[in-house]
Amino acid sequence: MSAASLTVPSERESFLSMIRRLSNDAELRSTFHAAPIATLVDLGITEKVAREWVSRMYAEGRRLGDSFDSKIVLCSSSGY
Amino acid sequence: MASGDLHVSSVVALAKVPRGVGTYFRENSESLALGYLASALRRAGHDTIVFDGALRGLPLDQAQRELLTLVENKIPGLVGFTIADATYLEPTFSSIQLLRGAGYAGHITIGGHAPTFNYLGTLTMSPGLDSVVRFEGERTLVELVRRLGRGEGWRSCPGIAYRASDGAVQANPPECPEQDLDSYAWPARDYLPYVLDELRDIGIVAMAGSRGCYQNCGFCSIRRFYDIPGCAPWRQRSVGDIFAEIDSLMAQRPDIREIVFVDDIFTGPAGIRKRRLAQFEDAVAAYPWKLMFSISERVDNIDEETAASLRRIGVRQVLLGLESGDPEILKTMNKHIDINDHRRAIDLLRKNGIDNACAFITFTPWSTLEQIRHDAHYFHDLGINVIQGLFNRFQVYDGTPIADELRREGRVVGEFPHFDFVSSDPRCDKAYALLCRHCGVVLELAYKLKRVERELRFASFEAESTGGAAASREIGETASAYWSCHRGVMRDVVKLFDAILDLADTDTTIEDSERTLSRQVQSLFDPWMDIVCCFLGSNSRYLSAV
Repeated sequence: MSAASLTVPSERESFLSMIRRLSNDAELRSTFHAAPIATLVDLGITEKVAREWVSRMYAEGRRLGDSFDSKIVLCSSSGY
Repeated sequence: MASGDLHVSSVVALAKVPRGVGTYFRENSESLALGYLASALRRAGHDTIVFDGALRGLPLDQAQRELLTLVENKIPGLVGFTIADATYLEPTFSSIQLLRGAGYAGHITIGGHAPTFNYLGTLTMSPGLDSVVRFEGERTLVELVRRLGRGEGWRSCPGIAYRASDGAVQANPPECPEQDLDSYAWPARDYLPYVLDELRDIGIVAMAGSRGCYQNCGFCSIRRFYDIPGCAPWRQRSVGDIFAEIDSLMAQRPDIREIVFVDDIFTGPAGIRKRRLAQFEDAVAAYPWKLMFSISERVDNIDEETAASLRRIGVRQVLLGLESGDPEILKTMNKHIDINDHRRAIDLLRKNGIDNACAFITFTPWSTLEQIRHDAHYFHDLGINVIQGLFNRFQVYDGTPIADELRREGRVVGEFPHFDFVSSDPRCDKAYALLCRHCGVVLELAYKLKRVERELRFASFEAESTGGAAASREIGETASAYWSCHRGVMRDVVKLFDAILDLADTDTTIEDSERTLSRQVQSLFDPWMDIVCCFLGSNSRYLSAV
């Protein structure tokens, strides 16, 4: 199975274009954080696709609190 | 009968319990220590149970309950604990206390670097512990179990530390371990299905191609762990034995996609490097598997020829210990590298399409705020993932030359196992305190970035293996978008780091600094977290669909 066969090219390209734009524009990143679906729709993504992307994004949300232990950082520097 | 002398069963239980603290970087590979010890015991005829509560990500109390149930049901003659680093000690000690409290009267032992070099602290802190298996464990543990099984005097077993009848802690000199690593049984892989089936996204299959180290970095205990009288500080397995083990693994699980070599220096000393890499290349050319490798290497070992050879073998990620951007600190660390080696190695790996994972230590006993700022920008300019390195604080490990040196200078504070150092520049401690309190979210970003990179590596490797030009092009486009995100994250990480150093250089209290900082962390990194989560959430569609 090829990568191309699994994805709709335009959707994939839209996704990568969105990542690039967000990566290079701090203001757009803030807007996206505050209202992700509306921002994507403004960027020309269909609402259906935008909802799907955002729901996957939230599914990958944070796991732990904000504190950390230095020993763990050191010992896990090669970890995935 | 006194604790530790009981031998009602030939069953042996080997255990690893989780750390007591949470981490974004959860355990993702089998403990090769437990695996090698289990296979040595099984070869000697002992029924051996492996319990790895750490790998399974169990909360400590649940891991302890399960271990207790296992011990009550199987009544092993010996329970042996392994610890990967000192953060496992206290949870292990409380597990031992629980077993003793529940009436377990068999022998309890422990192994690992920290207990090896601080057996006095280990046995003092854990009264329920009978012995410490010091240095490499196979021969010592098998002999200890043999003596316990026959009711012979176990206290004279070479290589252990123990409490004598008067309560004094004593240590017996170790015997030289088996020098021919090929003669060891391959590590037991009791948890291989768990790694591959339950930890699909993050699980790795680890393998050891060598043991020890022929260098002597001041912060590291590996050389001293292996360099006991009469023994070589670094030993290698033959390439034939390594690939026979790979064959065996692939026969069990053809779905293995990557092997991570845990060797501290994969290619070995200059005198054998070329020959060993050529043997690897021959072995890879002859086997039918498409396997990606990840290794650790010294920057000064990476030259044109080595980098190209690593690529041909299938290596797609190399962990490099850069350690410091300051030549004086590198010298103090006895690292024997030049900072020019950093860029050269990274560039050569990039040229050959090999990712790097760079480790360095920002907060050292000798750091100043100005030097730390210089290092942050220096490492950022190398285009690497700087997050974990910037957050690294030097750890005082027993058994290391620098720990000895710092003790002589009166700069080690705290009690085992919580040693720390006195900084040359107190502003660095303030900066570190601010990082610890507010920047954990950045570490989570580092974790997620690594997951995306790994998926990209898999996708790219599989595309090149199957010769799919279209798939390779698509993955290249995805990687390009990812790296634009990566560069942006690193830019903001260094921006935040600079702000922390600025705050540390003022009279502002940590509490007052925190208010400014928490707003900045949130506004910079919450949006980045969204973007990286978008990448991860879209894995199946845009990354790994080859």
